[in-house]
Amino acid sequence: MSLASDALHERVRNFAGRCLVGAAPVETFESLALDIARHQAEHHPVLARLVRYHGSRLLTLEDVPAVPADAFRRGRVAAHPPEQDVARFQTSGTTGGAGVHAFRTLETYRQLSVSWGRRALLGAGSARVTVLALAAPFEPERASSLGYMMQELMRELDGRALRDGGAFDGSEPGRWLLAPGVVDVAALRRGVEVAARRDEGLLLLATSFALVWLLEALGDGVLQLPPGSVVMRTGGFKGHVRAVDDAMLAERVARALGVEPERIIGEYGMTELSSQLYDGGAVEGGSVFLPPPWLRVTPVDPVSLAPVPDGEVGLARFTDLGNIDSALNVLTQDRARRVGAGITLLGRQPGARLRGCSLAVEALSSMDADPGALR
Amino acid sequence: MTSPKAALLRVEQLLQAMRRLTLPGSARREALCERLVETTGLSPSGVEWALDRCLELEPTAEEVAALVGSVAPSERAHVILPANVFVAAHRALALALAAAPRVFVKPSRREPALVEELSREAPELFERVSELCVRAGDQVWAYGSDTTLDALRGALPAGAVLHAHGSGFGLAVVELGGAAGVDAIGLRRVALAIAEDTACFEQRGCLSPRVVLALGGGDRVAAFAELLAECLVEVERRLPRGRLAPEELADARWYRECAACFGALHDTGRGAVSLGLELLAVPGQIAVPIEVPPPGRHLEVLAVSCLEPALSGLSRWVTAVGCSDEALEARVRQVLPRARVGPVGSMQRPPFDGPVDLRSEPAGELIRR
Repeated sequence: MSLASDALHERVRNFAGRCLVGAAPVETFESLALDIARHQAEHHPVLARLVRYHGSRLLTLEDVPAVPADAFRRGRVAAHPPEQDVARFQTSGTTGGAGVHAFRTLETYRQLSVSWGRRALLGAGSARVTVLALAAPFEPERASSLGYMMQELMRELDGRALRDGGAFDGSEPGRWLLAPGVVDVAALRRGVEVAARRDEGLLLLATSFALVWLLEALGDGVLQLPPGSVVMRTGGFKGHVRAVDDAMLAERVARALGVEPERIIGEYGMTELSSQLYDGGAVEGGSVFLPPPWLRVTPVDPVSLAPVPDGEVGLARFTDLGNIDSALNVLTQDRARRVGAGITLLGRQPGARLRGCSLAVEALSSMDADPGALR
Repeated sequence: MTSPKAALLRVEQLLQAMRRLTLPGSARREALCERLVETTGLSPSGVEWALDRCLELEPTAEEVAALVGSVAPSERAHVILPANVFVAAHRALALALAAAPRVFVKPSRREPALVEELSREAPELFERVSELCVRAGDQVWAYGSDTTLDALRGALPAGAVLHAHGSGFGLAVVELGGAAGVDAIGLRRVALAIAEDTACFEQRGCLSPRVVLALGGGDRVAAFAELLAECLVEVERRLPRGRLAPEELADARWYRECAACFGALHDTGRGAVSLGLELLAVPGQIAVPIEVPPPGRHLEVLAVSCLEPALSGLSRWVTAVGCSDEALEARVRQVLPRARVGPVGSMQRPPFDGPVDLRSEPAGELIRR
């Protein structure tokens, strides 16, 4: 089973690598996706049950049932045994209990996240940047996929110690700027000085709510980032008492950090996925998020689960080639509309469902931390 | 203010008006049923069933006295009615009439039929309004989602008293094993009773069972889930499922897809029974989060080896519990003193002795600013 999985990982990394350099992949998205789905149906009790329930024969990509995102919360969604886990990323639990996405290797996740993040945030052929995170430090035991992704972006896009240009250390003081409810503005200033000394831009990876805290800490002041700087903004306001309009937040952050508004780039990710989408511009109704070539987003009818016609709103169904050992297709309750090569996200499906006792788990989560940091 | 005697008289007038309006075979009832099919989305037989089985028209004198005694008197009372369970208007009105000589009713926009017809039958009983005009000292009975009730709290004037009845759901508890276990005929009777409680109002109300806690071994519980599915099919032949809203249909689909990932899922015509993981409950904590199925005749069956901690973990949300035997009823009452507890098959018709939902404070919430 591991050999089969390893081979799929290699094929996906190859597919992604070729797509990113503009070379024709040696196989199609569909054929790779179907092989992953068949592998999962063979080794993965959850997908096997879903396939049986739907009477699917997995002949085409449309035959592959989507695993609801809630399933990650209800039980193990993995094609490998727990003893092979190298990481178990946890969801924030803000929509009814914490979920877990287990990985038997992080190599593919790391390559996909970093390569698409680099392209989306810095552009093709990008130079090095100093990378800081306006988030709590990544700790393996805290099991945040976002924290892991931020750490790997630091490693790959910066890769040097802040202090003396020595070897990169993900836990170096001054790299992570958030303690519960407190923004380390002094460390951010030092990071800006480092980037200026290096004559390069600063990439600030941040959750939306942490940016609100930063604005509060800065007051009316401006902390000018060096030229070429970028702010990656992710996460909404689930679990927080306050919510701030996205556009207004971007405008205020742009002013406070002295960057152009278009260099504040939204990111959309979920613990249940291995790939992320990035803001590719705005249309009426919000940002258009662009998926990488190894991720497809299909809005589907919430009752029939069939794809809706282009331009109509449906539930976002993700087909993520990076999810080799979990769920190729993930169905969410986020409403989405296809716009060109991307999607706009329109919030959660209004539901009549009473979510009673999942709340028992929710009550345990602390509101002191930034739940946006744990997705 | 009002005297207990006057209050009793007003409640009796309500009962009489409701009896006239719903008299079997009468033209008034026929007209009402036609309207209710339109406004509630329930099937015609579903409406008839609800009128026959869930509308309390013959309470005992003791029950009515208890209902009147459950409220404090005031000059004016207001009732905000929900759309989900049309017969709920009857008890809500009775409580308001027991409290006050002047009663203002704001019917649901989606389901105004029962109140409108009742108002024609007994125009002196209450005033229908489209907007509330609450003053300090008034009492307000409101039924709705927790969000709606929070908004109402913010809008009421200081000095008003709010009786808020928010989200909740029903549980069925069955004993399948040991000396207290029931025979096959008894089991079928229990399953059929739960199926009837489930079909009523398409599970939109807080008395409807959504979850079944089954005491007994895994195999017995799995067999009971199948039996329950059979009984839901049987009930659907007599009481076809009504129309569900698009959000309800979407929730139903989501629930089925999730349930199909884990454990068994039995289709029951237009509903479903899912067999969840065993509920491993310890005092103060539920180890497995319970998935409360959406309306539309969906039940989640869970094996439970230790009943009391499981119930205790659910106390905040459980409004009603139907039990398979009296011994279980006694155990449930110990843990959930504020739930309506009775035999399965009667969950939709608790005694007419006070509010359906006993979780909120009997005196209501005094609004302060």
